[in-house]
Amino acid sequence: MDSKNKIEVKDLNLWYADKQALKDNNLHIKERKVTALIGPSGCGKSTFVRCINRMNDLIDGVRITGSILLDNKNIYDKDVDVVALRKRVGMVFQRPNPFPMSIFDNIAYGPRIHGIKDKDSLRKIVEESLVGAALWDEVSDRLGTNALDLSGGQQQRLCIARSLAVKPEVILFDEPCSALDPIATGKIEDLIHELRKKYTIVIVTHNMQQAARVSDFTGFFLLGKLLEFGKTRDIFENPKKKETEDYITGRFG
Amino acid sequence: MLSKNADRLAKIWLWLSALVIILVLLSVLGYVFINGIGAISVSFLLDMPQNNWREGGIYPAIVGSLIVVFVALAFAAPVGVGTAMYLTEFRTEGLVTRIIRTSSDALNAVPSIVFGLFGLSLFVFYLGDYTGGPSLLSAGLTLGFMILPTIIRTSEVAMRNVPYAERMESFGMGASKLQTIRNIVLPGAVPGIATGLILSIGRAVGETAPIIFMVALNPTIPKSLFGSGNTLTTQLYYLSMEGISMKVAFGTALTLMLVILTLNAITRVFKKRLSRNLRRC
Repeated sequence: MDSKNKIEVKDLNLWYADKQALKDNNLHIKERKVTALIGPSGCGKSTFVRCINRMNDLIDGVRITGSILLDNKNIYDKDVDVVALRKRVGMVFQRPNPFPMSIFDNIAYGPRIHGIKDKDSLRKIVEESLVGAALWDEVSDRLGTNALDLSGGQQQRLCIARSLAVKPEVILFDEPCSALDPIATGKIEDLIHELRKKYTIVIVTHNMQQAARVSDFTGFFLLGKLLEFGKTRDIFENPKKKETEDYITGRFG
Repeated sequence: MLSKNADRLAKIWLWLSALVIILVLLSVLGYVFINGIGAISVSFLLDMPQNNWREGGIYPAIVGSLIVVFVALAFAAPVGVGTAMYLTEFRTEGLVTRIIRTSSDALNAVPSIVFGLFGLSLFVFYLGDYTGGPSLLSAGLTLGFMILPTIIRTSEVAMRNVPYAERMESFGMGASKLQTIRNIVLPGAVPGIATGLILSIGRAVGETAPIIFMVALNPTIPKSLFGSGNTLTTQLYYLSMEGISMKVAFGTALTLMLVILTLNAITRVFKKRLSRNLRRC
């Protein structure tokens, strides 16, 4: 039952200019499991996931110490190719942001960037990705239409399909349902359940029921520090720290 | 009662002000149209001038204007769009971006006749060996300087209008900066950039002062960029100043205005396409 560690975070600190946003975080993320990160707004959980594919590199004045091992290789080593890293570690953002182009071109964007030009290969990848994101049945007859014409929930599944298309190993979800209604949210949660068979998943969420429903492991962040981490059931049924208990029982947050 | 009357008076005054604009526009357009339409014909547009411009056409001026605008754009478009891209994609806001933006704004405020004097000094006197002196190349480059700020500003706005989130998504899939610019930023910004370019063409084609020292009345088709030629605006100036032919002058003026109106109409179409694009925000 115990699977290997896909990601090992060691002594991770992060500063935005002078302000420390992450403090001495240590965490293991298991392969092909869903790890949920919960905590009040501004606790650093989104900042934390953005470290895993180095999206924070794009923000000025960010300084990071410590290491994150992906398959035992530190992604902050100097010889790491950030482009290759982001291909392996995909990301789904808070709000769906389809590119203003057709559904097909949205999904084919990643593969094309990574050099796939052959039409048949692209078509195959697009279909696989849409099937993988449970969107194929809804859009297979209109791949040429503008992706912006899809509903919000469909757009978010499109964005998931788009990240699947570059064949990642890890997918980071940064509050993927915060802009969606309950039905669309339910579909994304079902999808995450399916995806965990093939991918390692980290999901940041404000919604504790969601964390309880979709995840195998849960980490509770407070003020930039991972306060408690464990099997989701243990965290929710037997939190060891008082702050964790207060948060999950809704006493603050 | 008093306030009601005041309201009514204010309304009349504002209505009259608005009416003045329409009247001024119509009278300028109408006057040029009535005086110019008699001169305009196919041969007026496509024939060489004869008898010291009193007869024949204005073909050399049309060709000259096109060449000058082409030179201006060939210089200012890559530099302007490049500057805008540097500002939006490669720099965070700070001292450097402020200096660039202030310089660009200051450039925009320079009176056009001063551009003319500067162009004369730089391209004709100082670099005359390379530009052919008072040539179409010198004139075009001077106009290029003048339209640079417009191109920078419109391109910058167009690129900023492409949502930041789309760039992040692109980076998140492992795209490099250049791939993101080419596939996401530029396609989204093209209508806005094109609008700016067309506006600039309209401005360049209509300016006289910056090129008045470099473009003389010359009844021949320019042989090269380094040769001299004339343009619609400078020809208009000389024809009326020296009282050569008011009829031809008005014909030239009408031609010029039709060119600019056409360019503005094209801009309008592009703007519509731009706003359609912004739907995604």
